[in-house]
Amino acid sequence: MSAYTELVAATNFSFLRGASHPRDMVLTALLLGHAGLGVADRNSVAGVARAWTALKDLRADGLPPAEKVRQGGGPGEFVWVESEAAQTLDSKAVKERANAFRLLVGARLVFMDGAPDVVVYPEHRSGWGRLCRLLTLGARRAKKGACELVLDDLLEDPHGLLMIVMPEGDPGGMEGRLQRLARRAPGAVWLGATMHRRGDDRRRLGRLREAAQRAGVPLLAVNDALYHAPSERDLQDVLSCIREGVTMETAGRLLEANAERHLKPAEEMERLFRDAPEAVEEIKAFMDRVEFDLGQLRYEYPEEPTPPGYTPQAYLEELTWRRAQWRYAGEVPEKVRGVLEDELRLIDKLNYAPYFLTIYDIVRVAEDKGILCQGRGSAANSAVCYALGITAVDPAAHDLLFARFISEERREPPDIDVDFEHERREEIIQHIYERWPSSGGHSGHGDPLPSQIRHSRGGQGSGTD
Amino acid sequence: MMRNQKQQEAPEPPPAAPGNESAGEAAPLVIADKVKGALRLAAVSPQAGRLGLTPGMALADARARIPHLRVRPLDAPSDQALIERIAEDCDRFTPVVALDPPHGLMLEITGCAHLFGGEGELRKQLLLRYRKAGFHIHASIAGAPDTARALVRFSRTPYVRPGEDEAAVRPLPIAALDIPDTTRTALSRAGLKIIADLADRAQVPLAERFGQVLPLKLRRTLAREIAPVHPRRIVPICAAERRFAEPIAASADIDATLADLARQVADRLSERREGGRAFEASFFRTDGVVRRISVETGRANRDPRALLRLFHERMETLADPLDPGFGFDLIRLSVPSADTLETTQVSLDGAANMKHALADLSDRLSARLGPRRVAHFAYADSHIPERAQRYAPTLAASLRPTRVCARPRSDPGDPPLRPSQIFDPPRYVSAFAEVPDGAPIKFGWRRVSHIIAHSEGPERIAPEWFRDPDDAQTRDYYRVEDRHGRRFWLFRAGLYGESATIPRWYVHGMLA
Repeated sequence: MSAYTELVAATNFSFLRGASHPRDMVLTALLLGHAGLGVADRNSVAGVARAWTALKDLRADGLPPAEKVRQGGGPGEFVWVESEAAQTLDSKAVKERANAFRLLVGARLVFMDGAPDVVVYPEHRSGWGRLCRLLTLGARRAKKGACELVLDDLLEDPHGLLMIVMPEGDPGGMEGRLQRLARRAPGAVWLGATMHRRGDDRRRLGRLREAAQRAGVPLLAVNDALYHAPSERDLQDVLSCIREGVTMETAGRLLEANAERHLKPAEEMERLFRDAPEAVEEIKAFMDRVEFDLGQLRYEYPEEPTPPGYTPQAYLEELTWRRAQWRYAGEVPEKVRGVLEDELRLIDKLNYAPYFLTIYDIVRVAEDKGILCQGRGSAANSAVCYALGITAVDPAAHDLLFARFISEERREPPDIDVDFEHERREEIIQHIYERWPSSGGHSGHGDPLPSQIRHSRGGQGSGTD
Repeated sequence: MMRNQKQQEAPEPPPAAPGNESAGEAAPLVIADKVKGALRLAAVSPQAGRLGLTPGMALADARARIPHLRVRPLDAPSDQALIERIAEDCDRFTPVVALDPPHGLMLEITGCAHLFGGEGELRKQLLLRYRKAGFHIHASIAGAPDTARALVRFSRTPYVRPGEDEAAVRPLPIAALDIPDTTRTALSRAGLKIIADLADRAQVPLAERFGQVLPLKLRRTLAREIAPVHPRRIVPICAAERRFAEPIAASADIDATLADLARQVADRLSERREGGRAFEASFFRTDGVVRRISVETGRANRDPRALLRLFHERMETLADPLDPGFGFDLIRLSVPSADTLETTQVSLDGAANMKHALADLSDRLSARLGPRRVAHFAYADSHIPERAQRYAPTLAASLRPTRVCARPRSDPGDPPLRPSQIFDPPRYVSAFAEVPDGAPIKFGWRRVSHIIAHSEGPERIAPEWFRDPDDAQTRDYYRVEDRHGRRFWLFRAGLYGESATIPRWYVHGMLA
């Protein structure tokens, strides 16, 4: 396994530019023996999740199973197509490689002010947040589907981001901006050099090298890949034509001159960059800087206000016991007490207390306003929910098992649906918007809450959603 | 007069050449054509018609009735050619002449009648002209094209006064509506036989039963709605013409007429602040032959002298010279296409006119040699060097500006990446180079060995997969300089490891 890693690879999530699915990109890089892959789509991080899942599958299962491909129209006319990789590597070797493989996730920021594209990789978790906020900012400015960013947006707060400047054409034009970026984020800027066999590659490499020296940034060897294999060039050409709204015949030089923008073997890249071996070596240094992995992302529940001195868990326990007294008219049966304790322990372990508090809050508002509501769903069959008044089904009477629906194995948030009286449902929705104004309700940008809110609204029974 | 007047003429039988009738007095003539495998009469001569033969009758039946029948096969292309020629000649009456199959022509005579002394007079002249030429022809003038069509084919009413169109068509059979046979049969079965039966009914049920076409045709035939006429030729932007009571044939007369017409056209263009991009002179011979000569210009022009010069260039070099025959009785100069042309101020140094001078020269050369013969090299948008320029007719290029195509980027200080001229086809050379994709070290060409001192590359150009054959090869181009300072543009066709054959080297050009 070599140290080479393609750090600037687009997938088909770079809409109408990248021609290969993230899965193919990852698999090809793996089979080429690369140490990793940097997935950076145009103003988007949409593709990285696919790449990450693909890698996860490779780690867990090795090679993808043979694909069932239809051949002909009749029933049963299928062939099983095994991936080409199976001929060179067995699943075990693939698993081994996949475990050592590093997936770098980032985005290629394309600016509107003529600045060169900057490929950005978050150094750690906070950098990822910054990158996502930057993309949100650009997407909010533009019409749907577009992203409008200027270099100043990036300059505003580039901490925690590792940046590869990708000069287009003449390197002289972008030097000023490169230097500004290098001053703003010292030690976090690289200059990307490509060798696409355009005739003046070596001359250009020399210039980039000088420009990098002047700006005090290292040169980085990349291939700016648009597809995983040279055979995908025709697909990429067709995509370019769709993007530019021209026909193949008239597209001319809007298309790439050759099929060089694919993932290349390490030796090939080293040979191409023989004038600047330090640019290839720099890849390792770059990779070492990146700590962030998509696996570090966890669902982060928005903060639920609790009275001073209470943690959400403590507050939930306090509420549950208080309400249980009221539910069972002062005498909580022994059996229920045990169930409640078990449930609260599980909730504590999985850290679901804020979620229960949110639902409780909404239900209480509904009660205050006299709006009929009824909880249901997997987690709703719990004694805690009954105690809190979210549901009216006594688990003691019906012997329901909360842990069956909410457990550690399930690895997903609990599910409590609350149905509201449909004529007055809007009042509840308004209340939710008031409480979490940042979620905006309609925009759904970035904030994790709306999905939760919809979650709780999901089964309102009126069937209008 | 704003009345929208249509005139229809229906010569019949079209294939019968003038004089045929008298020759075949003894035997009636019919034209037969195969319809669904059976021979049927397509047209009958008047004599045959008098004997009771009608178009559509099976030939076998006709033969049974009249054994000595003369039968000729239908020659549809010739019929079509003849009707086109008549249409061409009808251009003398109005610029808007449309074909109205079968065997009919539709003339829009709005605004033209006064030139002939009124609509009736126009019709008379037209009938006279073609009857003299030996055609059986009918013509009707009405307020709408479909009305005229119905009248000329079903009642032969010569002329309908304005506002009387509806009354004129009401008694006609429903076949006059030009509707599909199935509709006609269905209407007949319902007892609706004449147009009046339909005209008085509510339109909505008719549309529901027979579709929108029937009410539409009905409205158009009743002249409640005017259908658009699609003229055969582009209606010119403006035109000037002169008619001669006595046909002219002398070239001096023709020139003088053209000069006069050119001035008139120039005046009209000037009023519109336009200049013509194409001009057409039409010469109508007394015997019905129409000769059209057109010239195009690279830029909008309305200078009568320049125009005359172009026409002279064109006429002098005609492969088939302008033959006046018995003389032209009408000459028309029209402008099918024009562009805005503001009056321009001549700059003091006259520099602006250089461009015009070049355009004028290419116009004249194009007029003399033919528009395709005068061409220039234009940049074309392609990575493939052979396709990066194309030989484009100068006139056409200026008529239809193509996408502006800049050369590949290059910094001012950089050497050119490509030679200004390339060899076609590339010349084979024997070269030594590092495998797989190194620059050549030396190469032999025309028995001279070149040791390469400097090289740059490769510039890899892949074939255009959507245009090139499957076996087209990727090329790696190198700019090289030999020890004597000669610079070449070499390429290796094919890549090592990808094609079965060993890549070959070619020289594709010399660099300065």
